[in-house]
Amino acid sequence: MKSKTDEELIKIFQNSKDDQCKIAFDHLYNRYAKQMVNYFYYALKNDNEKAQDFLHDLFLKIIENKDKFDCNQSFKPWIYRIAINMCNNEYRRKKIFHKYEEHIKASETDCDTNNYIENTTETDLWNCINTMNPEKRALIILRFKFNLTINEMALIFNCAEGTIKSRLFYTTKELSKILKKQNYEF
Amino acid sequence: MSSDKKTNRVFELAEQFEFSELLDMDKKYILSVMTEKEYNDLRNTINSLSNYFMKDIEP
Repeated sequence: MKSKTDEELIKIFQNSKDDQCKIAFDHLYNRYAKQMVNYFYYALKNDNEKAQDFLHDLFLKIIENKDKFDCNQSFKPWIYRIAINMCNNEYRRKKIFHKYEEHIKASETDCDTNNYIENTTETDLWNCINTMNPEKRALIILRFKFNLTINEMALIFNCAEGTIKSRLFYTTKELSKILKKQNYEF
Repeated sequence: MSSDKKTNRVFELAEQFEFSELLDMDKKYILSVMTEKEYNDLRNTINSLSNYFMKDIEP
């Protein structure tokens, strides 16, 4: 099993009903668990506990949706796409909750509410990354933390390689401006 | 060449080379898109990101 590709393993996982199915799944889990929990850790702004929960949910989704995977495609972009969607849902949920909290606060006091960016006081690179929107943050994490190729990222985001390069260019340029504003020392 | 293709090329170069390491033709190319300072800022940001994530902070 060890020598099998991801796609071969998931094919076994899809089609077997005996121990082979479990073994194939275990292999996939062992191959991806560490990098995916790391991805969640960064994407969810260093929330370790949530990262572990998300990892658990991610593999549950893989079990539930195993038949949706097309074995002619690569597995890696597929698993990352699921992970990114999970994080996007979480950002949306948090945003709604944050708006609700702000609404409550505003009705209780007359204080001005500052957004995330204005609350950032530390000139730390990670804090600056965290002021960016979820898609830009995902681009940065995938490229610079996980060293994913442009091709892999294009498959994950379902777009052309040129689009990924262009997005990386503008994202890095935007980050560069944020860092300058924060007097970050290179 | 479209502006998107230009920015793609700039990003490819900035990931790999300091401005001083570029061939003259690439320097000219960069300067048709942005200033040397902007290129250096971009390059520094890319380097900072690579160094930051290389530290391998893990949960």
